[in-house]
Amino acid sequence: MDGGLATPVKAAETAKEHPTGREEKRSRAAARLTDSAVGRIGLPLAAGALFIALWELQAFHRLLNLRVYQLPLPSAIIRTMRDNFDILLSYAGYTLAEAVLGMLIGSAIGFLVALAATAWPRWGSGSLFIVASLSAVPIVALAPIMNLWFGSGMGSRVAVVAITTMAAMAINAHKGMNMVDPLALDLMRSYAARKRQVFRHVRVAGSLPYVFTALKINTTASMIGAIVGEFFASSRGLGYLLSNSIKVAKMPLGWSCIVMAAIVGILFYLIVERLEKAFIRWHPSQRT
Amino acid sequence: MLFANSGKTFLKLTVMICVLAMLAACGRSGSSSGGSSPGLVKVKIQLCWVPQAEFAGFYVAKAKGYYEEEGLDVEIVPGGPDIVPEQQVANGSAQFGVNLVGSLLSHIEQGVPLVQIGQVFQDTSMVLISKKSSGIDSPEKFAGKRIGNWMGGNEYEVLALFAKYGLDPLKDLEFVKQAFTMDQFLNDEIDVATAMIYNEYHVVLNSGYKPEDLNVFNLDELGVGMLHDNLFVSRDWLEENEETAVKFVRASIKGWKDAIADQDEAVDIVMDVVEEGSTTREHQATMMQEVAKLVKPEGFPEDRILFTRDDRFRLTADIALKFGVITRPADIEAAYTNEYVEKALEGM
Repeated sequence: MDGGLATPVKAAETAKEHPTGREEKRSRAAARLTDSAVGRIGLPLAAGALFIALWELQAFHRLLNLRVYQLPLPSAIIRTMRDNFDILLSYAGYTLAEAVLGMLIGSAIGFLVALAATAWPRWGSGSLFIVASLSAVPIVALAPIMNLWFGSGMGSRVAVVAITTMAAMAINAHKGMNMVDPLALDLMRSYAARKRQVFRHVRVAGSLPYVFTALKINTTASMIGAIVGEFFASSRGLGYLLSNSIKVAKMPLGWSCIVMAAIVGILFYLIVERLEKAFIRWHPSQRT
Repeated sequence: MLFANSGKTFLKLTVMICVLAMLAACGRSGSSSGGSSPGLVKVKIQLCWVPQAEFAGFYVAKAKGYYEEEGLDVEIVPGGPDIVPEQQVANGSAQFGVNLVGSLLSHIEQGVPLVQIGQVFQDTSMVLISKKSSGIDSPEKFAGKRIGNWMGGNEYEVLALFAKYGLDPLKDLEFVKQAFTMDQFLNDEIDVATAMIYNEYHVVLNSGYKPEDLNVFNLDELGVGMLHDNLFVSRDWLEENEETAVKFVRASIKGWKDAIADQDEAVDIVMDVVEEGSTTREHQATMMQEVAKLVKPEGFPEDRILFTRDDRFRLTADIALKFGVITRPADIEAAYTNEYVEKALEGM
């Protein structure tokens, strides 16, 4: 107790002796902050700029023995993107719509499977296995079959995406529902909570961090599913334009599709990440 | 418990399977290099589609030993929807390629160093078809309809036709991707379909339609016909292998002449190489008849087979430029040459 009281006094004395101490500390903190900002944003930015500069100066072409028609230059890609911006934007929207719809349906099914597997473990765990094996079917095998079932419209790609996103959600959500704190279960029991209430307040709520992990995995998986699905029998979308451009040697346009798909994919991911922050603010992983 | 015991065994098994798979893969690639006759120059020709009478001349030349007589060991590589012969030839996977002239021009414009050394089909082989019952009997009536095409380089003649009739493919009609069967057309999922006169047109006829049930739009007659199957090589390869190119062209001309003269024999040869169960002899025989008319149209002298006609090539290049296949006028002199066909004829 004695020492506890003495320390603040000493600290006050030090502050008096070195009036600039606090300021110094603050400026040091600011320096650290800018340091970390430089590290966090500046370094990757510089690396990216260097990468594009090396690409433009054909360093990679020399390294990998490629010609410009095999790997178009960034300047040509940007020019093509500018010239075809309208169609790229509308196709990106089309592909994103397939990805989002398919992911929502697939994730919903996956979540229901996880719920069933938790509520009735005896036969429910079998359904988890089925979902996991479904997701092991390659997209290239799935796409033509879905075209046959749902026609060459958006429906076939939505189905492909739904099937490929089910498993990640089912497995993650199932894990979340079963990794609950035993103390929380005891507490609910002491409240005489019903099974339904335990489910809703402990298991489902506890699974949310896992659900968002699955959603984040599924954003990228759904873009892949939609684009590969479009390779087969689509008349619109980034995947269609990509495969068609490469067939007719319009490589810069093909690369524009790749850049566009990457941008859309990253935005999609960031949106889901932001939703995660909003929905599970209470979880330790979200505290900073 | 059971799992803990079997864990190590499982791991060992997995490793063994991986090693075996790798060994098997090595074995296969090793054995493929064997079996060729000594002293022959090995070359490959990349086709733009699966084996069928469309390429009869090349198969006949191989089967009757014309390539071998020239000292060549020729492998004929089938194509498919995702194989671009221009790119296969550019990267050295094959020395010769067969595809559409429009596609070749577009690759040359992108800087791919290729040159056409022969023209297999002298006329366009593409038509558009509609059912008489649909009432679509002229291109003006395409407005508001669903028009199918395989895309991937096949769409330009159709786009040219739209432009000629003032139709915007994004607004005035639905321009949709057509699968490689004619099911969409037969099931009324599309109103107008693209067809090769030697192939898909007859698929429709064999599905119960009579020629009088169909409207056929001939793209040559409508002024937008582009040249189709050609023969091209990489410039770099050609510089060092002029002799081989001449020999290959000479044997191929012989093959095409034979295929046209004795179509029965040609169809027999083709039937040996087609994918089992994918087609019938009747279909290939019909295809052979139509293909013969494309390689040697009526009144076309036999010694001009594989010649590139300058006026037709220029027309194709004009259409390609007008409708965005290429953005700058093609350098015709550099794009094709008849030099190798001429040299080949000298030695016949």
